[in-house]
Amino acid sequence: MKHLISIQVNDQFGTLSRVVELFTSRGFNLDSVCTGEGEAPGIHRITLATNGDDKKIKQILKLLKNIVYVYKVTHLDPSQTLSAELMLVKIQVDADQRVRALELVQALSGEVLEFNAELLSFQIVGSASKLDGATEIFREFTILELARTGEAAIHM
Amino acid sequence: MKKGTEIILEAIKRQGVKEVFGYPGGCVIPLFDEFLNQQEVQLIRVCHEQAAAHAADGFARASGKCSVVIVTSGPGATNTITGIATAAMDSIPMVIITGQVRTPVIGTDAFQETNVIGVTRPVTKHNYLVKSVDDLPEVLSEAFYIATTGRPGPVVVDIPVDLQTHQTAAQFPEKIEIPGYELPQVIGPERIEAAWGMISHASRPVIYAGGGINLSGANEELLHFAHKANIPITTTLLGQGTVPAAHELSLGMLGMHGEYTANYAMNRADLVIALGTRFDDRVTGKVESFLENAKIVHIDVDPSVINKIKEVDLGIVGDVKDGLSQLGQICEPLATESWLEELKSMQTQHPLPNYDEVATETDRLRPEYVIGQFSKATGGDAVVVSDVGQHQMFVALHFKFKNLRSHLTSGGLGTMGFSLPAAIGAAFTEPTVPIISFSGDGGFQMNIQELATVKAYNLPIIIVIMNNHNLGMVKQWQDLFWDHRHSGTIFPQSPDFLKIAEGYGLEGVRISAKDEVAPAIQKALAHKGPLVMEFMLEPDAMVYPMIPAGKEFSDLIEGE
Repeated sequence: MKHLISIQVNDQFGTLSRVVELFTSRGFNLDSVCTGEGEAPGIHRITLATNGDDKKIKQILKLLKNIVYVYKVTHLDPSQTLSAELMLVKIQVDADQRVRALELVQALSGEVLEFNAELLSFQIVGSASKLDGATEIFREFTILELARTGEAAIHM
Repeated sequence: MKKGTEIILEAIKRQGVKEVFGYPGGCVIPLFDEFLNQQEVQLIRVCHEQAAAHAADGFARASGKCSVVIVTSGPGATNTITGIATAAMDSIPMVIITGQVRTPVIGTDAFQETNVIGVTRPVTKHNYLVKSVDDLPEVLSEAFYIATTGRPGPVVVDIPVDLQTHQTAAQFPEKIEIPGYELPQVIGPERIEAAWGMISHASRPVIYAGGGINLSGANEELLHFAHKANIPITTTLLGQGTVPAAHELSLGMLGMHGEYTANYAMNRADLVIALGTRFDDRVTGKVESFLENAKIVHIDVDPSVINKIKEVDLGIVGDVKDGLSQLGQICEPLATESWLEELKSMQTQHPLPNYDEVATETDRLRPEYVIGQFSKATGGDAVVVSDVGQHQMFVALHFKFKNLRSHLTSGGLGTMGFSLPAAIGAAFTEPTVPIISFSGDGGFQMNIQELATVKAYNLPIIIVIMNNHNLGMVKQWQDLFWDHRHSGTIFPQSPDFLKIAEGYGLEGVRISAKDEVAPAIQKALAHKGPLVMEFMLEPDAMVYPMIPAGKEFSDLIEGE
């Protein structure tokens, strides 16, 4: 089962490495990492997406808290959480496909970033599952590049 | 204004550390030079950086205080990794200062450059790369604070060589505050009452005491509680010395090579109080059947070890000394007479294999006998340092430990080559009792060069080589589980260890016959200064009892 964990860390050299290292060294899954400065200067908020049973998640939470520069660990309750992710996509479109592609981008509340005779680049924001679905849909085109940021999350 | 190196020495002095273990190199020349400007801190120069780390580890284990290592960049730092990992697994407080290449060339694959922060991250509690000399006072203060508080552990501080000579006006912080790094809270009385509530209903309780008791110095609290409540105690390898082996409530060591009665008690218990311990696989065997029918109360300073391996009924986070002291206050005598009697009768029916009176066919010495004689001669009053393998288990079983922090051994990582350098570290704590370093003929050769350090500082260590001409523990597994196929484990031709000792300027003695053992030990104990003793052992001795890896109490093998 998927879990989102939000941690606040001192913006010190090596802290993010220690967080990621914890997952690799203990054999836990790390599906995505999204990091950047949070509400207080010098404090970064990292959103981690992982999966595992309850026992595993509890252990991850404790081990994260044991990292010296991690000062808050929150296991986010999906019903009380706002989360979003950004996906950038570049697809190949010829004249016949263009209208269909633009319709899809619009239907997904996406934003067109670049557009020419052969290519269409756009961004879509939303939940991880929305982006998973969108990726599937756009497979009817030739996807040239696709990049996702990982989910960022805050309390509702 | 002060130089970086002055700040480093000041940080060390502020901790009350009087000895630093190290090895010089290009990126710590300024720091080594600084030692010549003062007299308070002695620099102990060993012969290999791994040994510096083990020596510091041995010092910390024997004294209960933080120790310090100084090595150079690159290979100097990487050579300490085994020593750091050894300390990390057993929660030993150490600060390792590594020189680093000059700040402007970091990341350019400069000569003797290694990404020390990256390499040591998985084996340290925390680590730092210092980027400005102005950060040094704070970083070093934090490093010592982190190493010694909570669950202790090694902390690496990587200091580029150019910063060592830079000047700074930065002061040491008056108070250390690390947001998010929380010290263990005093355990709430309601938690202790809940624990006692469970314990008081038990009819077959057992205390399972680990290395945390040695680390927090909680032996008196442990004995007081156990004695007042009538609860027998079994210890882990790292918990040895916290309860005198001869104590009426002591069941000895538990686990893979634990005593029959200790494992019997754990298997029969209806409640187990786990103290300062982490349910290591060498203790639990098959986790599913370990403590299957017992309720578990677990006190440990590290929340992440509670429920890690085994779900417990009550987990309490806090200093085990605090927990035991509170438990000791509220506990009352339990009616465990018949339980204790049952265990006593088990001890009588299932004693340790005893080879005192048995002449072996090969006419070689039994390791149990040799260790037993050391135990008898010292009365258990010794600092014993063991290496890893068969002899380590023979020491654990047949040396009757009496005192806190008296068995220093690499429990978690199982590091061969640990004993001699760790004994060197222990020697600098100036114990009033003899220091005995046990190694097998395999492990001894892993840090044999430290005989030079023993000589240089004239350390009064009894250096015992248990020579059975093979890697006994691996060979034992090969004999039991791999059809006697001795791949890589036989050393038919060992070097002449006495000549090697002589080459290092040390006295040595070789003992091959049983009647020579006791007199030789007496002589060794009376000897002032270092002595190498080589015991020629029965090559096929096996360590028993044994519960094979991943098995349970019913699979216990009592003897040959």
